[in-house]
Amino acid sequence: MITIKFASDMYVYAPDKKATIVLPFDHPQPLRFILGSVGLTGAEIGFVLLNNQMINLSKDFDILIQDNDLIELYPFIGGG
Amino acid sequence: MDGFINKRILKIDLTTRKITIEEKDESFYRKYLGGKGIALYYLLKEIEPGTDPLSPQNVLVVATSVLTGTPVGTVCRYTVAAKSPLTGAYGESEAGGFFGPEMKLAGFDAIVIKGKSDKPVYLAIINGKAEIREANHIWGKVTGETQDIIRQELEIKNARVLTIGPGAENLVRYACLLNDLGHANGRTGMGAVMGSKNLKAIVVKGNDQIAFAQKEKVQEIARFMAAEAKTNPLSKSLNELGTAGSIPGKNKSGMLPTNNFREGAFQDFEKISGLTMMNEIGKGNKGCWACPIRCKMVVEVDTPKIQVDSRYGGPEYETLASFGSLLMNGDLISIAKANELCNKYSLDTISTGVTIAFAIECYQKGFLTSAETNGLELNYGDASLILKLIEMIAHRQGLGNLLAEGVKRISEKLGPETKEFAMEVKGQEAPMHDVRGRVSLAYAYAISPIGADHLVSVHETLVENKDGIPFKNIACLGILEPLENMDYGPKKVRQFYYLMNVFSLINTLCICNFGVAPRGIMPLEKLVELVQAVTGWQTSLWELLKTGERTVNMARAFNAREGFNREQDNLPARFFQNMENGRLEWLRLDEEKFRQDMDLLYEMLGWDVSTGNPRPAKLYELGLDWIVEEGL
Repeated sequence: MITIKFASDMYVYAPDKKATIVLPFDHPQPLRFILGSVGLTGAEIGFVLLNNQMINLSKDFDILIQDNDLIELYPFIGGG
Repeated sequence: MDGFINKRILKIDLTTRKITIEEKDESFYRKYLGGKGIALYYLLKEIEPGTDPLSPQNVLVVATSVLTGTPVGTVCRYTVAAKSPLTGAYGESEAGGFFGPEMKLAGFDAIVIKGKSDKPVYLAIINGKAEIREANHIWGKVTGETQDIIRQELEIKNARVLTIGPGAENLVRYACLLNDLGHANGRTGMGAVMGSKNLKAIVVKGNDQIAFAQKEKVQEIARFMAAEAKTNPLSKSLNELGTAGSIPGKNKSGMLPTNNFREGAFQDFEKISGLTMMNEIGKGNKGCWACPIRCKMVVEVDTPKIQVDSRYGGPEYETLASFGSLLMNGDLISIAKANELCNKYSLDTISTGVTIAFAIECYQKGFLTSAETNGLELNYGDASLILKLIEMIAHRQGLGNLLAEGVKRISEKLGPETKEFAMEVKGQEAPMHDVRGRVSLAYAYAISPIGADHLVSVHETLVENKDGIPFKNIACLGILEPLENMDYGPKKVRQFYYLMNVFSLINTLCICNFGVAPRGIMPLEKLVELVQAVTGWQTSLWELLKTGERTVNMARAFNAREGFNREQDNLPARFFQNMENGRLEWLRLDEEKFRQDMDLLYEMLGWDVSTGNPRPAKLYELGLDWIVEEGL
């Protein structure tokens, strides 16, 4: 299974506005595809942690997601 | 008004109580646009170098822009500027809300105030007429009470009141101004300047209307902004938690200032997150003039032990961090109360939090003793101490009298050993963004004319994803390659320079950072269309960005004549030391590379590398001949 955590206000993009969703794992697939399956293009995301490691979306958007991976999505950061 | 501007500047001499109106032609507005452009024009012309910022000779300017009052989301801000009592340099702070548009509809594009009243007064500007009114009865009152009394005596329920509280009356050097109690011109001590003039408030009410060159086009852009606000990722989530939603991301990325910037992660960050705040004490959200984003979160607490009045809004990201993680305080309600107190007393929440953090570290290291604190023990994580110190600072009581001077002056008093952890630049306390994860931000803190400021240029974390909206929106500037956060060198310096001009333009036009690219939802090309539609000028992005650059150079010229040079473009020593925890543990700024990049930046800007100040050729290039020729 793959866990996606929508941190802070990213829940606005989650199905049913849930903070965490779990997807079944079939075979390794690119991060781009996994996020696309829940309606995300990547443009909505400030930054991504994969198993607590920072992902550079410019370089690693097609990294293969494995069974038991944890994907954490964070919003754009603003001052104020 | 018969156009998009009044072409009228209101000038007030509080010493003589003389009120005059200066008329300006359209070319003045095309050259300076508004906000800090207009403010700096008057500050350079009317303040003598070396003027004491708290003397009658200082000049306080409140300025709108050519776009203010346009019914387009995020185009609602105004600038307050003067020589800063905190830094001795150019001081400026912007705020949203409703005051700016109302002031313009009341008949004036800017207000220029000098002198000092012999007793407390306030200024009422109603439908083109300005009047100086007595304010003895409201001097000493908090902002909320002041607003209520003024509205009642003018019998104008929805008059917009820009006011100071006791903190500014007592000349706390980082005192601010508030409009509608929750919108602060927070930085650089502009409230103290107003207090020094015995000016309690400025009240505006206007029924005029703006005539746009292309009304339908303006309406089309307004509809675009309204639609984008609901769907664009750059604004959609702001409607949910406002800037407070940034806390978890800042913590996870290791850049949440903690323990007076020693650390970048706070173990109790969830307790002070935007989500926790809105779930536990949230009471909806508010917005600014015509803005559909509505990013201002409102909180309320009503318990026998503590009450927080929702009229004062709620803490935003900077406030949650400065009274939370920075002070190792996980007590959310105390942060909400600290925010309310600062808004009541008109204190900048960033400077107040950083000053308290500095005092605690001084106490822990023995530079402040219990004799000097009158027995008060200063410890991190003590929520009641924070609230007590805010009261003492606002009223300059006991230790509060020292803390009211700000970090730089306290450090100078307590000894050079304290400079290492004095988190200020040019005297202004650092905002809640650690530069050790963002090289561009290090340039920004250093070069900013107002001291440490996080809105000088882009934070590269925003534009590191080549598929992200912010990066795509800056391609029109010729920035085609995303850069890593910790890259140094020419590419990073160039990106910073181009985007500094963009940020300066946004500020000069008095637009919110969430309004225009790269952080905002309006692409730069559409901003040009908006200026064209409002003004009728056949302008271009080139012309507008030149104005952004022009105002950067005007601020630098103002500072140069006050004796500032590149020596003050420095950073707190702590930023060149290792971060002590979190994702960026062991990371530090590379001092040698940073200084090399600063050299390159001055060269790119057309500034003298040895002084860091504009060369005459650059000022001529920007049409600022008068600064060179009048020796300003």
